[in-house]
Amino acid sequence: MYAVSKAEKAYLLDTIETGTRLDGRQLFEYRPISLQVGVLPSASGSSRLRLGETEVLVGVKVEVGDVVESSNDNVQLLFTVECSGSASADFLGREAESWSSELQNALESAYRAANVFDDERLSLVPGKFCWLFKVDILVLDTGGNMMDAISMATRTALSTTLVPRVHIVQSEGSFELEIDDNPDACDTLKVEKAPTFLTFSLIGNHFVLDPSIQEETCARGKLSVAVDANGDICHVYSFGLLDAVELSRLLTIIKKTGKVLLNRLDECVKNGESS
Amino acid sequence: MPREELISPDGLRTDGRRPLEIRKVTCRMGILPRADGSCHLEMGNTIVLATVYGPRELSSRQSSCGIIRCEYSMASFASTDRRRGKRSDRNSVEMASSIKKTFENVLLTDLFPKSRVDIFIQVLQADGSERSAAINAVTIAMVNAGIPMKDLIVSCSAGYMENTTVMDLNHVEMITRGPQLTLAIYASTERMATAHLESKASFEIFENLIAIAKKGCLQMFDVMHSSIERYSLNLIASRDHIATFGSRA
Amino acid sequence: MERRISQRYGPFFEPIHSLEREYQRTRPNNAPRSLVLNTGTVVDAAGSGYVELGKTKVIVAVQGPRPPIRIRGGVENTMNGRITCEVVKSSFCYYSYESTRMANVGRGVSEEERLLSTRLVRVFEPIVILDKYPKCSIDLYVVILEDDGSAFAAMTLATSLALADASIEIISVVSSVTVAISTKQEYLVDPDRTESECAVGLITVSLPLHAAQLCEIQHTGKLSIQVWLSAVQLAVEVAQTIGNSMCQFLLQEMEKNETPSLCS
Repeated sequence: MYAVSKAEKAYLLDTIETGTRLDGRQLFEYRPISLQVGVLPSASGSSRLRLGETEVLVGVKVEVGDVVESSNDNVQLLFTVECSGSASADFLGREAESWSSELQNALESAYRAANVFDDERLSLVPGKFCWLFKVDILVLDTGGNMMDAISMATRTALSTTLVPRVHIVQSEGSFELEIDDNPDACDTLKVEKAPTFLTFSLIGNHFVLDPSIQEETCARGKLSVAVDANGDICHVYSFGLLDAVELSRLLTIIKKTGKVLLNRLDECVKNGESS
Repeated sequence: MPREELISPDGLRTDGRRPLEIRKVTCRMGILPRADGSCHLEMGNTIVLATVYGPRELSSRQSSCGIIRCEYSMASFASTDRRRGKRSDRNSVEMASSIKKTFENVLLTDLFPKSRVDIFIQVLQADGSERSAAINAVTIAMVNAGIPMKDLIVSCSAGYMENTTVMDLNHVEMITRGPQLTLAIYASTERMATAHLESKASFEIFENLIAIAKKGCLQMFDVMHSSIERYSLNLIASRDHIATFGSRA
Repeated sequence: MERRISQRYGPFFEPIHSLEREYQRTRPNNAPRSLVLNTGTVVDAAGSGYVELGKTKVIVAVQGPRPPIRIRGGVENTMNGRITCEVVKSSFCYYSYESTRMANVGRGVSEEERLLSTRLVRVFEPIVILDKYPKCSIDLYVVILEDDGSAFAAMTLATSLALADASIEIISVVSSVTVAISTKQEYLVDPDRTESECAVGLITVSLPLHAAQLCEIQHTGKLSIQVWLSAVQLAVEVAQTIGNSMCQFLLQEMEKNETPSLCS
């Protein structure tokens, strides 16, 4: 793990008591985010996001698959989180598996709860075929707060994903799908309902938003909340002893920050620049 | 799959290059601040990210010279058909061990005994010649990390199809399974470091492939050398800037 | 009850809403189910706990503190004790809707079980005083015998009992409860499987008693902030009552096992 000496830890705690952090941010301020979309031409949608020192690359591949079980969803989302060996030598082996499966589960649960893709246009043949969105997430550099970076990058990658148009030909009870090969005959996805995670670390007695890697190592608790554009909570992931009173105070901050963040992200993608 | 014409009657390849032309190479050094050395290399549409950590403490065994560990993995979105290339995949293991052997000969390992150097290669997009791109990226990452080496290793691929020898294969040309050679040479002495041949080739064709691949390596080296120079000059310039500022204060 | 079993064996693709219509909750909304607690059920283990929450049955065995089985490299990792956990869902427990999709029956540890293990370790890491057990590992072995909703809450309760039974130093006893928010916007405490699956949202709260803090919150489903807060507050209250009964039970056990002093 990232090693922090006792003196550094004490210094960090003292600084946070005064209301600022080591890099000069306020307690509930995000690090600078830089975002690029369309970085992988072979994927249907992709984005590369840098949050402070954390760098994440997300690729989305779109396929048509058979419907599994009784789900009436038009879309099945499959998340895979991988940490590149270049990010940290600690993320290898069994540790990596449990860490990545936790993140995958959190993302799946949040997206399912938020019911992101219940668009009529996305339904193929209900009960037989559905769209399969395979989201591959690669963490290139770990600089603290990977959850937020991953969720933001996933949302932007999905918002720029091009889904090819499909013609359904029904013949004698069996269905055939013809996927339009024309690269211009594509639709983009609407991801207004997609949630994003906001991660808080509990350091001393204070919650700080978007912890850097030093802050994460010194933290005695962590809270990640997935919010969507309406301020509804889609998923909560917590760790360590958290004060119940502080939580209610945090929730108003979460709602505000979540809305602001989501708006900024959407704006950037529309304008085609990086913030 | 219908057999496309790999070389048109005009002598152009599928991506519009001439047979003895390498793809556009861009490389950026030092992009991951926490790694000791890193390099993001693009050869046409093949994108490779190499990171080097080291020399680091070796926990398990004592050794009189440095140990190199190498890992190669291909991202799931790297090729057009989504393949989950795990690190323990046979292909990845073979690539990793051959790259490791190449660099074991070039790094001055007796300068860092009881230590290890970790190399991580991540292929972000695969469009042919991943092995060469990986070797080139690792060389530049080593330079970025400042690990002492005898020489720089440059690599290029060459293939033989439709009676022409071509340089720097892309994906479409690689899957034809004709004779393909990936060659890595020491940059200043032009001696061979590693060669990897796929499929069988007669002796004349093989000699031809080596000659063409060497030329490709030298072209590649020009580009790499100039980008390393540019990076170092930037570093020196920024340092100078700081020094003058300090003296003024 | 019979109808439910035949639906189980019939096509699995029965939509959930039909189950909800037939189901009636027999107890008031904010009452948990009947609770059965027991310790010392596994004789071989250092400590063990058995909890029944209605029909959900969970048994936990604690081994330790003992030297770690797998040594992860690095001395700094063993300066504090470690908690490891293995969760197994028995093959005859009711499958939740999720696990029919994710479980690989008979092929090693399924992903759901691995997730449950990581979560349980996360709940107890701040609770067990690991500084007192350097270079040791405390191993938790959990078997879910039957899952009729609130399995994780039952697991947490059983683990607290097991740790107390094994005399491992903990800050406090941990109690846990699940609250479901139904489609009619009601708060159902300690839902069973049907209620959990029909619920709009599900929140599991674990908290140490005697402290105004929460160990862990788990959440599925989409909820507005007010609803979320009220659900958490309700859960905290109910968890306090459950925790108090657990403490009473542990005290009784202790008095039972006390050997009479030699000098009377």
